[in-house]
Amino acid sequence: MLKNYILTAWKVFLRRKFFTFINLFGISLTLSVIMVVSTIVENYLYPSGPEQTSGNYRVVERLTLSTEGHSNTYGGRLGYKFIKDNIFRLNSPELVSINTGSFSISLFHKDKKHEKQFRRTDANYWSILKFNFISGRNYTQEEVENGLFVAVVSSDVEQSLFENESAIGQFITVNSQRFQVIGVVENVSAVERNAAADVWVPFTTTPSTEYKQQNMGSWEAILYHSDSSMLSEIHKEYVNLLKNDLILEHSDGMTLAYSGAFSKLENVARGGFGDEYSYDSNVEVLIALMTVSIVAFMLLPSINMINLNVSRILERSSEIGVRKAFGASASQLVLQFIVESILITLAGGVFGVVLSFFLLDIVEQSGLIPYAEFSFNLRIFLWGLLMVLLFGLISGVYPAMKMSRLNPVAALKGGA
Amino acid sequence: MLKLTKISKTFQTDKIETIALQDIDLHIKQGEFVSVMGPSGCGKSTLLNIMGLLDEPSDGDIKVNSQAIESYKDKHITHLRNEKIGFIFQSFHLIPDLKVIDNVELPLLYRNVPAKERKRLAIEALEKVGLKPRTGHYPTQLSGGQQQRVAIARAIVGKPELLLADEPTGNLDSRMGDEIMKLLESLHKNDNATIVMVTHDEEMAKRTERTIRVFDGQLVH
Repeated sequence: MLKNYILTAWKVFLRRKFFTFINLFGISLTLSVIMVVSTIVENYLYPSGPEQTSGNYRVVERLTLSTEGHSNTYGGRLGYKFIKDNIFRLNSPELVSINTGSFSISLFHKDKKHEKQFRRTDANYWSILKFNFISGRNYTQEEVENGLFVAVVSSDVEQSLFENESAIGQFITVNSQRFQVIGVVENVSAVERNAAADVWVPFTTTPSTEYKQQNMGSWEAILYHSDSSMLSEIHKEYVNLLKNDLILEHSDGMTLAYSGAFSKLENVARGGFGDEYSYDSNVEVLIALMTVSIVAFMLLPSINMINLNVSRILERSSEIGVRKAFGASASQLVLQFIVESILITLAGGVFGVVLSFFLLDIVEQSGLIPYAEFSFNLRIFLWGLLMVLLFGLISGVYPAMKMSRLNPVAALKGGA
Repeated sequence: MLKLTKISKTFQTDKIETIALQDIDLHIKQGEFVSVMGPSGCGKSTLLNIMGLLDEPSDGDIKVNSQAIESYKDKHITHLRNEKIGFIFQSFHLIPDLKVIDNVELPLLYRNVPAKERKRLAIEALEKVGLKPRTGHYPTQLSGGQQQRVAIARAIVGKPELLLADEPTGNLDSRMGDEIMKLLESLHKNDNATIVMVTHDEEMAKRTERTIRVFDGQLVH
């Protein structure tokens, strides 16, 4: 039976070349866009670079300080003082690391200026994030405490500044500060935003000590635990501290602090949809929005395909009439047309996957996301397959049901 | 074999009600070759569709082998059609995307007959209509007469008890029409097939055992 369905489907596809092309084009384009977006999201949420340990840490990225009654509010990234006074008092994380976030700097070498990303960190940063060292080493706790002017650079910096030489032992100048390179790491994709930079130096080399008095600033804190089930405890303890044991000095009358220790997705949600006077990320809103977007994005071509399928199937009403006359039940006809629909969506899916490879390559080469290397894994493939089947079902079921209900006499006459 | 009692059929379109058949009483006996004649639009094809369980009457009873048709629900009726009735249409209605043999196998496909057995029976049916060498062809590669013979092979492959032919020679020239008629006659004689054939052609009707005449939706005696 299935062989007969497949055979008929194949012949129909060949006979109706333009229709087949339109269908394949619509399906493959839709799927490739979804696959590309989901690959980027997948690589963001499940990174394979230094942030591969992201399942074992939470990041505090944002903070809102406010007066009672919220008449005066500051919102943004954290200051060093706030981290030191509050986050360093948390007991549940095994490790706490702080860094300034990355920012653009002009890096001078041999009178040449290079625009690069720069980040100041502590020593724990290297224990939590798994950088791949090409040569040299990271800076130690002792070097951070002593404020030594040492730096770890990316392989891109090594190549662009020192060409064929090793960067180890060489000096680079950033904002009049001279750092000696002690380590070279593989380039980090910009999607790994807690790790990405070109130059990393100890935070104690900051030119001014003013940062030590600031509750708001450009810092972020990474809270690590080897047992991932402890991460929610970390968030709870942090929120509890903010509510009941907050230390806020030099705060211009601010007495309330709202923040949270969040996963990557939660931090995106907090930034986009979070209530600034809340301790939650509102990640549910982001997930709902993403789901609705994907469904809406798939729905439009699905409706188009439903239309195409209905008109295509009605053209075959005589065949439906014959099949009914010779004993095909409604369910058998529904199955036949769903098989056809799934076959064409699977073919479109194959094209879509191939197209996704090309599109991802273009995104990687474009430099739109610096150092991005998107890997296609089994999870994305299975997601893609699920999307294809869903697409096939959505666009096949309604037309199949509609035509299976055709009156055989009317169908034989070629009418609906 | 087939008994129609007080069969009526009314078509409702918007506010217009058209009576296609009225109080038809008809008994088709096992092994009979019956022709149905009448002017265009008199209800011949409607009658044939009702006999073939393709259409539901507005009123009246149908008995197939003394068993009354009580339900026109999809499963029950499709099963009956598949097992008991074979159709031959004026415009052949072969599926253009399927080869001759796949077209002939169609009724067996819905009977869940295994592939090998399907093929054997289809070749046997094609042999009967003289088209065994054409099994691998597509319908469009055949002449009108050959297409109708394939349609007859499809109608008889499942060995149905009743063959319903709706103007089977209507789209053919007289020579090919004669060939098809001879084929139906041989199926009737050799296989004792029960055949009901709608026709406009008085000569063809004369070759059947009994002619039923329909006028304005009623049988004329």
